[in-house]
Amino acid sequence: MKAVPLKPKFSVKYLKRVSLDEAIKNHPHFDKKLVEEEWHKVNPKAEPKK
Amino acid sequence: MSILNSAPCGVSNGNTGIGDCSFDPKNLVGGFLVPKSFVITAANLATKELALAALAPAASADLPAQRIYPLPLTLGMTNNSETPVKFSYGYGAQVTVRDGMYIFNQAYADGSLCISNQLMKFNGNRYNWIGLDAAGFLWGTKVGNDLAGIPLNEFYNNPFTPSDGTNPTGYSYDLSLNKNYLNQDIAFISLGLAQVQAIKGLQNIVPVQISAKAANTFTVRLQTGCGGSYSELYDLYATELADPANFKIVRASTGNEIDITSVAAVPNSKGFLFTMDATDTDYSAGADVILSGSTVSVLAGNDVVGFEIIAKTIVATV
Repeated sequence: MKAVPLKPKFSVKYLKRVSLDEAIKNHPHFDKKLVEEEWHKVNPKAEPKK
Repeated sequence: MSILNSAPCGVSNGNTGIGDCSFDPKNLVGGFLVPKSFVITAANLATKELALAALAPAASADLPAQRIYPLPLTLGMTNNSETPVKFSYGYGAQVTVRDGMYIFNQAYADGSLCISNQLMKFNGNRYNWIGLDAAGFLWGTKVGNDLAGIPLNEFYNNPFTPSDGTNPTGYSYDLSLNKNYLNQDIAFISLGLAQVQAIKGLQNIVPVQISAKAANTFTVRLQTGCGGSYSELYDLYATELADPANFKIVRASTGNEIDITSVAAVPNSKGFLFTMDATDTDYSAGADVILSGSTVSVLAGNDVVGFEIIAKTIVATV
C-alpha cells in the first residue's frame, strides 16, 4: 500500500501496548518514520531502532 | 382524629389583596422537553446562577435519557385550548364540569425541516415540558420544593405545511396539558431570556463513508446538518476530531469493540482516515463495523463542543 503523507493521531494506549514493529506493520499506509517517531514519543525508554 | 368517612371540604378561598409586584406570564417563546425525572432541585433554586448551572449542562448530558432538549424559538402561538366544559341542568343552572385542556400550537422557523424531523421523534408523552416566556421566566410545576417539567398529554410536532407562495413553509408543534399545571400548580423562576436562550441543543455528527474498507482502514466524512444541507466538520474541527479518543468502533455482527489505533485528517477528501488494530481478536478484514462517538463530554474535552456523533455502519464494500 502506498504511504500517504498524513499526520495521524495515534492511540497512546495502543502504542504503549505494542512493539514498534507491530505498530509499523499495522500502519503500512503511513510514513514509517512518522510511526517510529510517534511510538518513541510514548515509549521514551525504548532503544531507538537500528 | 380519623379520616374515616371524611370528605375534606378544605378552605380553598384565597385572599385577594394585590401587592406591587405579581407574576404575569408573557407569551411563550420556547422551552425544553425534559425527561420525566428531571427537576431543578430546591437547593439549585436558591439562586438564579445555581438554577442556570443545573439547567445548562443538562442540554449536553452524556446520556440521552438524562438530557433536556431545547425547543426552537416560537414565532407565534395559536391557542387551541378547550374552553371549560359546562353542564346545564334542566332548570337552567349551569356548572363547570372540568377546566378543559390547554392546547398550544407553537410556530417556529429555526432549523426548518431538520428540526421538524428531529422533534417528530418526541411525538407522544414520553417527555415533560418546561416553558419559557418572553420575560425570561421558566414555567414548570411544583414537585415538593423542586421545579419539575410539566407532564404533557401529548407533544406533537406537526408535519410541515408547504409554502403556498404567499405564506412561508409552516413548522409547528402542539402542546397538550392539563390546565392545573400552569395555574394552581405552576412553578416559575426568572432566569433571564438571553441566558436561557443561550442553552443550545446538541447537533448530530453523521459519518459518511467515502471509501471501501481497505484492509484495516476506512475513510469517512463527518458532517452535520440535514435536509440536503451539510456542513463538513473537517473545515471546523480537522485537528480536534482526528483523535481516536473521540470514537468507538465495534464489529457489526458481535458488538465487540475493536481498538482504533489512529485517526488522520485527510485534506484532499475532507475526510478522516481510521486505522483499526488488525491484530485485535474482534477484527476481521471482511466484516462490517459500526463507527460511533465517545460521549458528548469527551468530545467537548477535545474542543468539539455541542455535538454528538451518530453511529454508522461501515461496510466492507461501498
